[in-house]
Order: sequence, then structure tokens, then C-alpha cells
Amino acid sequence: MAEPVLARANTESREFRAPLEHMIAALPKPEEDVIERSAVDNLTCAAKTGQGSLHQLVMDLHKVLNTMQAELSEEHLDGASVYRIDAADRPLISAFMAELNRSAGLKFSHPGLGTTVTRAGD
Amino acid sequence: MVIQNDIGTTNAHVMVIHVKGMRVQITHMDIHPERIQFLRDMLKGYEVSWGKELNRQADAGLSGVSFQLVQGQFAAKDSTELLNYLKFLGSGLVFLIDWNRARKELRGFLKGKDRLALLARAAEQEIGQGGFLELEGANLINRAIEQRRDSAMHFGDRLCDILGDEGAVEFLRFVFRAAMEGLRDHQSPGLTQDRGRAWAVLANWTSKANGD
Repeated sequence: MAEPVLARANTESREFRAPLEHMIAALPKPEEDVIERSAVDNLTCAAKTGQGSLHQLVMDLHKVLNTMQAELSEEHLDGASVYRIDAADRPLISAFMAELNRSAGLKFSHPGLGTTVTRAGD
Repeated sequence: MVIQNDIGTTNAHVMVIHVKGMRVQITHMDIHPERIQFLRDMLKGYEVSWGKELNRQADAGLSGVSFQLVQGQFAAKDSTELLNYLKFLGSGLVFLIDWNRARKELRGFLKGKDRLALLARAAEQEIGQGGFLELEGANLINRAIEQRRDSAMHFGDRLCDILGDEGAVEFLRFVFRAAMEGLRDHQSPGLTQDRGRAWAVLANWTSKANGD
């Protein structure tokens, strides 16, 4: 999951490399196939800013991957970044986005509602 | 087809919508279980089959937050219902943004169940909480109260203790609508905050509370 982000030689990728290597090195070694509960919590909790966990790192990587995916999108359809969709998907996406765009003004200055559409498993 | 929406861009709050044929699966990840319930209630007009919520509870001594993952399956009868469901989902996501923040902002004014009902109704009526929060939420109300010199409110009072539950809810509904409409119609925030109809309504009710 981290490889596409790390492969980009930019500041963002450098920011991920050190904490990722540190967390992988610090992963607890299971003894007799048992791992401490606290270790599981440390791995899976969504820690607050500045208190990184592996789970937090995965979520941050996910965000970067979303951005990268949007950059790869073949087109924007009614505000959605779309990638390798079928013709039959278009009316569904348009229906979803029409209502999303109509109501989006109610978030005022708050960011959000970024939408990406693709196909999976085809 | 997979639709992913980042909703409010905050951590652990993402919706992924899988569409396959007439079947739609929502996967929603959220740190606020109350907001998941709000989503479920919002979709109650459709026969959504909800799976078990997967919980992550960190130990009390840890600083990590817990979050939940829930999936909801919906099978549309035909393409029209499929489109309608997707439209409804598209129209409703905005009401998930800052939902919990609004709930917190309302603590000083309404009881728990009334806060939830207010936010649900604001979504049903396509008003939402965004305008209220944009105009500083609780501060908007507190300033109005402070400006009312003969207010029956005192430090520590909740608005519902003074106006009664029904009166406080009615007032907050009005504030939500006034904030949304004021921003939508490009009125100055000052106008909405200081001289809007909300002020007049609060003044009247405060007078009632004072026995005027």
C-alpha cells in the first residue's frame, strides 16, 4: 500500500518513509502465536494527531492514494473523479452527483464531499 | 462500480458505495456511533439491511479514539428505485459533515433526545447544521442571550430549562433555518447574528419566561 506513495520522490513520500520504517521495526513479535492486547490496540487505534499508530499511518496513506487516484482519473463527471467506468455507470454517477452537488452548498465553507468512482474486481 | 466519498475529509469518516446490478452496499466508517445511527435513521425510508457494527475500543489508558464500521445492503426493485436510492444518498451526505460538532454545540440548549431530533429534522428539511456552525454555533445563541439585558437566563442555565423543551427546540429550529437562509442569501453574518429574526423570537420567548 505504501509503495506507490514512497515511489514518488517528493516531500510527502519522505515524510511517510521514516515513520513507516520505524513502525515496522517496532512491530511486536508474537510469542507462541500470541500478541499482547495493548500491542493490538496500538496497531489498530486511530490515534490523534502527533500520536501516530500504524492504523493512523494507513489512513493517512489512504488519503494520499485517494489524491493520487484522483490525479489519474480519466475525466471528471459532474464533479466526480472517474476512472475506468462503464457507459452503464454514467447515469448512476450523474444521479448521485446531481443530488450531491445540489445539497453541497449546505456545508458552506467546510471542505469535503470529494468523490471518486471506479470499478473494482472487473 | 465503487463510489467513494470522503464526506468531511476528517480521519475515519468515509463512505464507500458498491453498486452491482440492482444491489447497493454502503460501507461507512465513523468515530461517532451516534452519527452512524443518524445515517441509519436517515435511510429508514429504504429497506436497508444493516450488518453488525464492528467496534474498535481502545483501552481507557490509551489516547487512541475508537471507531465503528458498518455496512448496509439495499436491493432495488428496478433501475428507477436504484437511481432514486443513489440520489437520496448523494443528497444526504452533506448532513453527516460536522454532525457531531453540532450535537456538542447544542448541549447548552437542548436535552439529548431533542438535539438528535433537531438534527434529524434539519436534514429532512434540507436545512442542515452547516449554517448554524458557520455562524459560530453556540456562540450565535449565547450572544443573543447576552444582549438581552432582562434575560431570564443565568450562567449555567440551559435554554430548555428557561423556555421549556418544546420552546427551546422551536427556537433552535428557527435559528438553524435563519442561519442557512441568511448565508444562502448572502446576508451579512452580522445581520443574521445581531438583528435577525432569531433575536426577535428569543426576545419574545425570554419575555414570556419572565412572565411579561
